[in-house]
Amino acid sequence: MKTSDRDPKTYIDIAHSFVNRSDLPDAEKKLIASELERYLKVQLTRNQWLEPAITKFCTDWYREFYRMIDRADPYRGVKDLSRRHAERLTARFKPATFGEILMFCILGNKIDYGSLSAHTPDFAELEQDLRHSAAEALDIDDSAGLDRAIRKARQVMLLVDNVGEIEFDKFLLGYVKKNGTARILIAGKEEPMLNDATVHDLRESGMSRFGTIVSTGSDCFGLHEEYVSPAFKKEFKTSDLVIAKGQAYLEFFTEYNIANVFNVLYSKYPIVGNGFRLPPHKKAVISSKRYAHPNNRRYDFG
Amino acid sequence: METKRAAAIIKNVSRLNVLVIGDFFLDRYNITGEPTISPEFPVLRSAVREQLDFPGAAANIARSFARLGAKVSIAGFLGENEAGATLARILERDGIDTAGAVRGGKTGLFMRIVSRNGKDVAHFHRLDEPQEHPAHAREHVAAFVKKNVAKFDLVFIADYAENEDSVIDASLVASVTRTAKHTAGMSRSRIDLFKQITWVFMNKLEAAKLIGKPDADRHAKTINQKIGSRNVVVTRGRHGAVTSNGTEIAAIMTDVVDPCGAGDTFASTFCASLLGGADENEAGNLAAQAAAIAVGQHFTYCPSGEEVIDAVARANSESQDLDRLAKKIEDYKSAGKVIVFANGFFDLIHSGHVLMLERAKQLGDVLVVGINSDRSTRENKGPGRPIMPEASRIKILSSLRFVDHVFVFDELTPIKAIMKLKPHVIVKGGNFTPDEVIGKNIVEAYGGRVEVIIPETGFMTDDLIRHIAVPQKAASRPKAKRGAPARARKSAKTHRHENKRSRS
Repeated sequence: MKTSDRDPKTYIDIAHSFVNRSDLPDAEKKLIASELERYLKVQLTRNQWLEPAITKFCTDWYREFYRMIDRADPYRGVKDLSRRHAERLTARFKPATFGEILMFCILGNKIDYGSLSAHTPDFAELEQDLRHSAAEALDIDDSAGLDRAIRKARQVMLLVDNVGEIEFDKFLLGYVKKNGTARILIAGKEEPMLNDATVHDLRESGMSRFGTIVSTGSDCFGLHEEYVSPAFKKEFKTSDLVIAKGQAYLEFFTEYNIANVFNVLYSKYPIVGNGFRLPPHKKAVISSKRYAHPNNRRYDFG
Repeated sequence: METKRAAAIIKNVSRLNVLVIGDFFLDRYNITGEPTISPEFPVLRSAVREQLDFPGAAANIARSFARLGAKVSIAGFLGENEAGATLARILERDGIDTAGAVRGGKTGLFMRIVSRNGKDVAHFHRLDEPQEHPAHAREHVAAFVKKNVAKFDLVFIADYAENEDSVIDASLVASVTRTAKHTAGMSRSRIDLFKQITWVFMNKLEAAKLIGKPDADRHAKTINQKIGSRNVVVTRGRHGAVTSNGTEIAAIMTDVVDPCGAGDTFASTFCASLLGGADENEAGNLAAQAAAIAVGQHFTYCPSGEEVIDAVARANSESQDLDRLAKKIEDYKSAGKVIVFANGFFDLIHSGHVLMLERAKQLGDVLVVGINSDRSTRENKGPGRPIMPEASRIKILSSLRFVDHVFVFDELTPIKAIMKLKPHVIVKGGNFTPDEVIGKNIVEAYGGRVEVIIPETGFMTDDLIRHIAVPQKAASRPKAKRGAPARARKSAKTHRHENKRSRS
């Protein structure tokens, strides 16, 4: 997905949203946010160069925010809150079928403080969603293909998304462990980025019970070749099934010609990529065969 | 010299205890406006606008050591006159221990009448009030030295007064050389007293007078033998310095604004650096850097250790650390200087950049230039940029005489740097409106302002890159058709001309 495929106002809004979460004095927050807004407006109105790949652009844009607040982690508090709520909810429900497990994973993807305050999760609503999940249907359903791939794979890599959400992913990892013979890799970010799960968060959540925790080597959205580590690329290359959670990984993979990826997500923004479209508020399990195309970029595994 | 090495030496200087013995004077500058002719007599008449006081002679040496970070004490006397009281206050403000200076007599006052119009300064007249040392001053100094000499790593004897007025005499010098760990000194007229001093400093004229040869600075070894000291350093202004060990110290090329006190700065930095672990070459380099800073400022100026490190960093084409720069900017502001800030990529520096920066400097006293790091430039401008790496951009900008400080920022924008440095004026070159200048809200929040300078040449790096790229395409460019707009015909003609020129 391209940077230009999204309303530019979104990028200004996320700057305000992020800075407002920081511990800076209010006057300083206001000044920083207004100057970041000025910068982006000048870039846009004067047709200055903007990184075309949306996940890379957003990585650079968010990294700038972190630099503005001296790399403090303004999402620490909401990450702890998410984990507590998710643990409480996952203790109450036990999805039985593969379909229910995937639906739980997708509903868990609603726990996202990622970009805007508008997406602040409502845990009471989430509880209701989970209660009625059996009646829910997927908007894009490639789950049968995913199930087959799980049973055949020798190495499965789960690219996780948010803290809290990863508690729901444990159901899926349990299923993979029970129904396949694969080596399981669970990949998190190396450094904090919004409320995305880092390797530290994965360890804290006891994810190592299900497989080997690996770091992408970066804090970037997606898996940009110049940002992720060579060690990660090696594991990524040798995984014959990649399950990628969340919107950012779908935005990233739609740029590439990689056919062994399944995206599992609840969409928050419209997603557009090389002929593929997904409106917001959709629950989806998407095989990358739907968008992978020989004309797309080839991933450089190094 | 590596910046890290310079920083390590300067750090060691902060552990030194230095005693400066000598003649402590006060340099006073009466700053006037443009002079006119007096109606009473045919003489210049001016109104005094401002009075500036600086430590002079041995006091300048003491201050110079203190600014480098050493713990400094003085031994001598501070007069009971107004000059003495003022000098004591200035020295104590700089953290110099004056307990070894007896109070009494009169401190020498050197008063200059100086006309200042903007940044132009003209010296008109100097009025001297010689010092008068109090009774028993010599005995007091001798007793202080005897009692305390073991506490000091270095004793510097600064003999600036005429023979009969000085607290320094042969027995004091002999006592110091016998008992002090390290000694250094300089004398206007009694260099013969300085036998056995570890380091003796003199300028070219003093050296010439001593051995009767105009090129005496080439004969530091001869001077050394004549004096009987252990080492001699002859300072030679823009030709640098030479030591009796044969070390040639190159001067740092800079615009000389006021050389007053630069020799003191050189001597103190040289000694402090040697005791901070430098070899003679390194000490000479640091001393030359310090002297270059001193001569680049109006009136007597003693650079701090941080400034010397920054000068080395600049010489190494390194950018300045933002935290260190922020401290320095605070010092400038305390001295009433107006800070002008400019930022940009400066990728392919061209005359538009130079003109913009030259005009920016005219808006204040200190011009600080922030440049986007290579990573920041790439993220802002895209693949293939920067064309010139960071180090080259720093080197070119640092060499512009109107650029005082260059630093690199790694963020996409200079927001953080502006918040830290809080300049009075943010200058942006090019076709921007003030509302498009990053930092406008920040600078205006504390009363600063934004200035946009549109360079007369109209140059933009992006245009330049396009211009360089055009001839490659021009060969296949079709001729403008008859009836095409004049601009298109002209463009085609220009390209044909360029092709012809490139073939030739």
